[in-house]
Amino acid sequence: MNTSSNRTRLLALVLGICAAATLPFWAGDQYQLHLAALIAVYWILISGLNIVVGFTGQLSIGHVGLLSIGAYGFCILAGKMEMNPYLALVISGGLGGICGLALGLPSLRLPGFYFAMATMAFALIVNEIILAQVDLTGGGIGLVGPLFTEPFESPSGFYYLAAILAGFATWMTWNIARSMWGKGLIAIRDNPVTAQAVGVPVFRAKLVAFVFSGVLAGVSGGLFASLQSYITPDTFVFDLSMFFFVCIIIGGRGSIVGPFLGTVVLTALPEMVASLAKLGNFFYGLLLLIVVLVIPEGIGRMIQLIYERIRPREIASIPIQPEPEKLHQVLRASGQAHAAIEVKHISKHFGGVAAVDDVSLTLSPGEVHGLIGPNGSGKTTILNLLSGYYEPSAGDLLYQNQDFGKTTVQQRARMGIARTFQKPRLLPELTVLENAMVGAWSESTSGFMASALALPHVGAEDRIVRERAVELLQGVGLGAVMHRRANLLDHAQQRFLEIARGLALRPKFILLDEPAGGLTSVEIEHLGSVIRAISKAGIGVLLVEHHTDFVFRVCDKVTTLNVGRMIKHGTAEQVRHDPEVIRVYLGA
Amino acid sequence: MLTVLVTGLAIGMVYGAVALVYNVMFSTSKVLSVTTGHISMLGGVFGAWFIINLQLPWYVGLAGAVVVGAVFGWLTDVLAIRRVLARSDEHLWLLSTLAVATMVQQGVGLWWGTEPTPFPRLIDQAFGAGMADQKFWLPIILAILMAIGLELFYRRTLYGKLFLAMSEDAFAARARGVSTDRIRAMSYVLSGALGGLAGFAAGQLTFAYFALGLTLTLNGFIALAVGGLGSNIGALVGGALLGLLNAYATYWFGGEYQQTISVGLLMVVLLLKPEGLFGSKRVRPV
Repeated sequence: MNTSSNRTRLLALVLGICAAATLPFWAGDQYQLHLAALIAVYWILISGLNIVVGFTGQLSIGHVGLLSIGAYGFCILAGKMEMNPYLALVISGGLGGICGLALGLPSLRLPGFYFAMATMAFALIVNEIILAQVDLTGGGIGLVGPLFTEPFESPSGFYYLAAILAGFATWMTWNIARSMWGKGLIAIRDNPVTAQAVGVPVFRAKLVAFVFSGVLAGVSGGLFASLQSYITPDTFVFDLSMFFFVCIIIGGRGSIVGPFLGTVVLTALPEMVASLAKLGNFFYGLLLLIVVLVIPEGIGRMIQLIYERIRPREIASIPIQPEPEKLHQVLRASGQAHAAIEVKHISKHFGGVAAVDDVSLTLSPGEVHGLIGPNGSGKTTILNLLSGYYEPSAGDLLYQNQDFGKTTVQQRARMGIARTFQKPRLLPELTVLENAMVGAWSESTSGFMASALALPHVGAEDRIVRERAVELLQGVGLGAVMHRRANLLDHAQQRFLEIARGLALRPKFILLDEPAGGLTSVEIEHLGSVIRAISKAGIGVLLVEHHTDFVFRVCDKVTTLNVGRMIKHGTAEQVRHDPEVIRVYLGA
Repeated sequence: MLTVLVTGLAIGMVYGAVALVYNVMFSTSKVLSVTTGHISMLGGVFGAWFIINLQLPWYVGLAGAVVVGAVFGWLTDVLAIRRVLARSDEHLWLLSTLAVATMVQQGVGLWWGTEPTPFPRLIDQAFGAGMADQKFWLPIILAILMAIGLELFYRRTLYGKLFLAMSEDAFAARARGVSTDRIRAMSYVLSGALGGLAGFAAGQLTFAYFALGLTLTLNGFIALAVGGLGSNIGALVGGALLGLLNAYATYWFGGEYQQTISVGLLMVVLLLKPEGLFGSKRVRPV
């Protein structure tokens, strides 16, 4: 964020690289060198697992199975079949990726505990197969782990190979973490509904991350076999999976430095302190329990919190100051809708209850359309139907004469339908700017690997998204708090940030679910100017709201619902004076 | 052939009993605890310790195993559930129960040893009894009794109804004055006692073995997911299916791919009927 901490980080990075590069010269003995190589090998796996566990929030406790596959693959190819060891290592990575895909395809759709159990079962299955396939794997006797050829044959040579690959893996995960993918994965972890709303293909993104971790686990396995020089099924005990997992949880989720430190400490500590090695898993279990109970965010986060305690940052409340003119210009630049959304005789039933019954309305570009009615009249249901969270029981949703009633939430985002939520759904650990950038997910076309390798076009695309998000935030009046973490925002700021995130999608239509709820009268004025700027730029706005005078002030058209049925539709003036609307909702 | 059937049913009912224990905990806390299988492991190990090492009569050993299970159930709630449920993050309980399970397993391994130890005979019976051997019918009878007892408990007693009320809507139960923390702690003590009992009854079949916990946690979970989360009859049916499948697969193809087959069953059921055979479909919350 600020330059001084950036400089400290750069310095730490340079020192770390220097230390790692010269390690064989100052390491005391062969054993310490072996330990350093082991840390590097483990880190290759853990850095990939970190993307799955720490960023995407999928608790895989079976990665030892993927390590095992990589190790056996390497031994069979480079040892038994005498293949070139470097080629064998590449194939091991591929094997890890394929098995990751095979494991992820059925299991990543399952909820948390089911997924964890499936990964654990996978590790047991791999061991079972290895024990059974005696001809290939040597069964319980095991296989010799072949050495690499010069210049990486000697222990120090091997260390360099492992360290270079570990550095490469770190660089890739770091690139992912700061790309759109990193934000999308964190959205899956912290708020899957938001992730869908901005267009993140949740299952596919999880799968891609998981396969990536599988490749790294396979490579790590190949190196591991070579380093250990002999492997048996007993080498790949479940304890090892626990170890990987604990390194990440202790290090802290959403961090890369934290899990790295966790790996270094937890690999080295039991080797140095013999009594800890004897306790083995008991020690990991205890650490895990303490971390979960005392500092669930992990040690990385704790250091950050202590730092903030020592040097408290000013978090003065800054009032929202929208710049409607600027907002209008930013939105104007991204092209407008030419057609309207037609809602035709739409119904939604839950069991026997008709939440929405035969409602029709037209949402035109550049028009603010109000949706009012008592609680339970079906307003939010219509919003959920339009944004794809519900499938209509009957009726059509038409855009450019195409029925989109059965498309997914993500496809609606790509169509240009953005929404906000009644209860703001932000990503608490990301900054305001990053939250707004997540909204532009469907605009970014960079693939996962392109992001991991930081290809030039990724950076260019990222800059465009960032610049536009900054302008949008200034437009809705959050320019001053852009770099604050979202969980430090007050309620009104959260509501405006939701709108900015929706606008980052380059929407043709935006659906606002009670945006004025809990706002002060001044803030409602600001909201009004923001909404007018949005509609003036040619975007269709659907406004669900209870502040009726606000609705009648900003809306061009108003639809009134009661128990799922439409009772009056027309201009604000017509609806306001309709006797039926007054009877069921407005009151005399 | 009949031996295969009986063996399969017996081991299946052990899994079914563990699935019942899952259900009791899940009803009040909506938590699937990794420690579930470890409770039964403790029941087996402590039962053997009381009877073999301390030379106590079998009924004292049984009572001891139940008490140890209950205490561990209560500890699970205190250590791994109580503080974690207060936070909003749903994944934390998976981590905390995994941590407790790992500690218990390693602790027992260090104290009791890592070799499977034969469990003592409970009833005087010759070893050549074949299919009528107590090691088969003890777990079968016990699991069925447990399921019937739980149904009666839920339907006939006030506390059982409180469990059901919490399982329907813990928030509403709390608003009606139910002390949800206390009821949850009670359900963990109850599930611990049942788990200890199941582990004791299964001892002759499974041996007293420190690493049994994880196997039971996984297979009990498979029985639960196949039968349908929350259903007691489903737990028994799921367990029986899993046990029989394993036994027949071993009989026909050899025992090398047991785990693979079990997980295969789970995946097939989850694909065809995600809520399990006897589970209830829930509307997806948005």
